[in-house]
Amino acid sequence: MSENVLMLDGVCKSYRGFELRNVSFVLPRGYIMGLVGPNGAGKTTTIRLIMDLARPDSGRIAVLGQQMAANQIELKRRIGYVPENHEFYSDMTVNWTAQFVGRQYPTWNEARFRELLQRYDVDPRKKIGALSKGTKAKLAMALALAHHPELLILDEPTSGLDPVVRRELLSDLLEFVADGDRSVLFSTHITSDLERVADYITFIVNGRVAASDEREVMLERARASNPTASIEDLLWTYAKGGH
Amino acid sequence: MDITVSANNPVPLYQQIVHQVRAKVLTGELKAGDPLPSIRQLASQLIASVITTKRAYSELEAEGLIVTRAGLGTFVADLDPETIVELKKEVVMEHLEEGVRVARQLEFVDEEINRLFRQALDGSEKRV
Repeated sequence: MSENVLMLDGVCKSYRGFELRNVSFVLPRGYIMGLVGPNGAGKTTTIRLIMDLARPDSGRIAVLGQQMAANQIELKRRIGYVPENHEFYSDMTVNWTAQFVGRQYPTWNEARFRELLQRYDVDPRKKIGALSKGTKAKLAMALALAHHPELLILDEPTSGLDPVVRRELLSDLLEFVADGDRSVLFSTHITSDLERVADYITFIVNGRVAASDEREVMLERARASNPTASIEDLLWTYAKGGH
Repeated sequence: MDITVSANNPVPLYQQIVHQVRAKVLTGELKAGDPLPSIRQLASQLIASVITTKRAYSELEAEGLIVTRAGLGTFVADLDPETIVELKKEVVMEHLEEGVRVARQLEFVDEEINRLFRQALDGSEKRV
């Protein structure tokens, strides 16, 4: 099945001093795509446009085959979205936060959430403000996974995490897509995250898509001139204006 | 299936998978008809992407080492002993040819390469 869970076609958006130009890519169902680029390249803006938190000036976006604007509530229930800065109430406990979030999703699975908390070693009685950055990231992941989304959209999920927690999170992403029905889009500037888990990579540089393809295909092409080419080498080339 | 891959290894991930499964089949650790994990199971276990793992399986299938039966899964192919010997030779030759290539690049003549080969052979005998 080659159904696309995400489709961006010629998406443009300009802010004062920043412009996203003609962004196009697709993510087929069942796979993981990494959105990679230097800081300020337009990764977060792209994700915010997908989530309908901002509207494109022109171009089309389809999420799970539909226009987000026309069907926002139903679509958002089928998506697990983790923004870069988790907006939790720091005075409230993990338990309270879970109840608050859970009420918004008819598919919320409390047992699954408890299981994830245990696995991630998050104490549900603690206040959000008392959690470390890594624990907060794990909580955000648990909240996103507990309502069985079809599509996970994660903005810099691994930034600031130690290598062990990072590896754990990447392993969870692969487990998430293991049934072939679920898909992930995650942004990162840490290219090593992509070496392992990303089926597809979209390079965003200066508000433009420098390349978007299967990771294996892009690396194979790069290896013709550099036998040990890595994602980092590719990003460097694109950032310096090569192709 | 007991295999591991490393992103720090300059050998591409899919080739790391191919090499290890191939070695297991050729040494008999995996036997004809043994089931292999599904692509997505193995990807999750290795922390390697689905397409990378798929590529490794396609390669192993093209080499005739594994077979996929629709709806049943992937299994170790039934290879006759002569084929196994031939495939083993191919793997060894690949490495020897690489050694020869490096030696020629460093401008050794055939006699010297021969002597180096004997030396490597004797050296490894002592270690065993």
